[in-house]
Amino acid sequence: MEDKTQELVEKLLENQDTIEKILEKIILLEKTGALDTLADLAAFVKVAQDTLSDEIIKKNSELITNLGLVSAKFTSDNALMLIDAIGDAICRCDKEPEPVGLTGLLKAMNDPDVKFALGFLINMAKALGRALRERA
Amino acid sequence: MKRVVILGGGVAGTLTANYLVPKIKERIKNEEVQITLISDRNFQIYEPGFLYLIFNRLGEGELKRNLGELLDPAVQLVIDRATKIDADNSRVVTENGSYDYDYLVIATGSRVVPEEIPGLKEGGHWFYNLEGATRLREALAKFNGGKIVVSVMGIPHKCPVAPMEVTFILHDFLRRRNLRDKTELLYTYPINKIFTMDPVVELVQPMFDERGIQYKTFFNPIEVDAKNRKVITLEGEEESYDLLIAIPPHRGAQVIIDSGLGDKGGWVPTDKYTLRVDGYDNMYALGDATNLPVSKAGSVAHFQAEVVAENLAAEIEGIEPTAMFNGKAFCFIETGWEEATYIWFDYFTPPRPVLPSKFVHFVKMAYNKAYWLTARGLL
Ligand SMILES: Cc1cc2nc3c(=O)[nH]c(=O)nc-3n(C[C@H](O)[C@H](O)[C@H](O)COP(=O)(O)OP(=O)(O)OC[C@H]3O[C@@H](n4cnc5c(N)ncnc54)[C@H](O)[C@@H]3O)c2cc1C
Repeated sequence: MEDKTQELVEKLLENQDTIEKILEKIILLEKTGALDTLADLAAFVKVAQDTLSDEIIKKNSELITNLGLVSAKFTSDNALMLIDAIGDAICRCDKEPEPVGLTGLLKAMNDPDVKFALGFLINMAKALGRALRERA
Repeated sequence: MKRVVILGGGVAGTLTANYLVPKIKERIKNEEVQITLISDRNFQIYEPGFLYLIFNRLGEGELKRNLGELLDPAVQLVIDRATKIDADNSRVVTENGSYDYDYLVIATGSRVVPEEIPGLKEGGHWFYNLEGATRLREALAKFNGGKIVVSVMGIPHKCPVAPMEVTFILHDFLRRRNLRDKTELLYTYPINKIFTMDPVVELVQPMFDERGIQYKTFFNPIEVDAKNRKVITLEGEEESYDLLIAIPPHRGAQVIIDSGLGDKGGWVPTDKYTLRVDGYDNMYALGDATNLPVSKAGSVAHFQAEVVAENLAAEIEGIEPTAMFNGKAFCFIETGWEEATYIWFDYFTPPRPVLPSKFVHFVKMAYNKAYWLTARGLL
C-alpha cells in the first residue's frame, strides 16, 4: 500500500504541470455547468458506439454519398436556371388540365412557348443519350 | 484555346479535374479552356477497400464507380490507354489517337510487380490489386490454422500502414473463427524497425506483443520457394509459411517508363513543394506517380490535387502560381476488427496517433462508403 501511495505521489509530481492544466480546465467546466453537458454527451456517444454496427454505418454513408453525388450535378449555372424555371412553371401552371388528343397536341405545337420547351427537351434528350451511352 | 490534359482517372486525376473546373468555369464555358482526362478504364477503384474485401466485409461492386458519375460534366473524358508522353512536343499519344496539351498533369499512379520476386506469383498472395485481393479472400476463407507470414517486400509501397492493419485484423479474424490458437502470425519489415515512423512504432509494437504477433526486422525477401513454402532473404534467412501475404514491390506506370520520364522505379521526379515535374514548366505530377518522399496514399493525392488545381488555374488566368504542397498525409490505422486510430503528418510535423477506439473505426467504415464524395471534390 505504502509503495502504491509513493508511486502515485511520484507520478503526480512528475506530471505536475500537466495535472495543474487539466485541473484548471475541469474546474472551469464545472463552474460553467459544461461538465454536466459533457457527461451527457459522453453518454450519447457511448449509446451510439454500443448500438451502431458496421452494417448501419455502411448503409447510411452510402445513402448520403449517393445523394451527395447526384446533388453535385445540380450546382452548375445551367442546372440552377433550369430548376428555377421549372419552379416558375409549377407556380404559374394553375389551370385545370384538359384531356388532349393528337389534334390538341398538334395545335399546342403552334404555341411559341411550347415550341421553345420542345426545343429544350430535344437538346436535353441529346445530352441524356450521350450521358447514358457514356455509362453503358 | 488552352488545353489541359490530365492522365489517369484515379483519385489524383479525378480530384485535380474536379477542383480545377469551378475555378475556371467561365473560361470553359467560353471555350477558352478545355480539360481532358484520359483513363485506360471507365471506372475508378477504391483501393483501401481491398483490406475489407479479403475478409468479406466489402464486396467488389462496392469498390467501383463509373468515372462519369465522379467527374464534373465539364470535363471531357477519354477512355484510352496512353502509350507515350512526348514531352518535347507537348503531346500524349494513346492507342487510338493523340492529344496536344498546353499543360499536362501526370496522375498515373503505381502498380504492384510481384513478378520481380522470383516464386512470389506461384507461392504467395497479396491484396494490393483487385485480382490479388479476391484470390486472397478465397485463401483466407479456406485457412485452417498454421503459419501466416505478412511480409513487406519493397519500399516504397502504397499505404505504408496497410501491412500493420492487415496483421491486426487477421489476429481478430482468426480469433473470431477460433483459429488464433492454431496459428502463428509473423510480420516482417525491411528496415531496422517495424515501421518507418517512431511514434507509430511506439504504439504498434506493444500492441503486437500483447497479441502474440511476432515480428522480424531487417527482413528483405529476394525469393520465394513456392514448392517448399519458404521465404528467402538477402540477409540469408529462411522463413517457412503456410500462407504468405506479401506486399509486393511497386513501380510507376509503364507509360512513364516507356516515355523515359521516370527514375529507376518509374517514379516521376517532382518538386516536393510546387509539384512541377523537374525540368518541365508545363507538367505537374501528383499522387502515387511521383518520386516524392511522402506516403503513397489517397489522402496525399487529395491534398496535392488542391495545390495542382490552384496553380493550374492561376497559370491559365495569367497569375503567378503560389500554392505549395506541405507534405500532408492522413491515414486511418485499423488496429483490430472493430477499433482504429489515425495519424496525420507533413514535412514539418511528426505523427501523433490517438488511442485506438471503436469510434475511429466507425468513422473509417463510413469513409469507405463516403470516399466517392472525396473523388467528386465534396468531402
Ligand atoms: C490495400 C490498399 C490500402 C490502401 N489504404 C489507403 C488508406 O487507407 N488511405 C489512403 O489514403 N490511401 C490508401 N491506399 C493508397 C491509395 O489507394 C493510393 O495511394 C491512391 O489510389 C493513389 O491514387 P493515384 O490517383 O495517384 O493513383 P491510382 O489510383 O493508381 O490511379 C492511377 C490511374 O491511372 C490510370 N493509368 C495508368 N496508366 C495509364 C495509361 N497509360 N493510360 C491511361 N490511364 C492510365 C490507371 O488505370 C488508374 O486509374 C491504399 C492502397 C491499397 C492498395
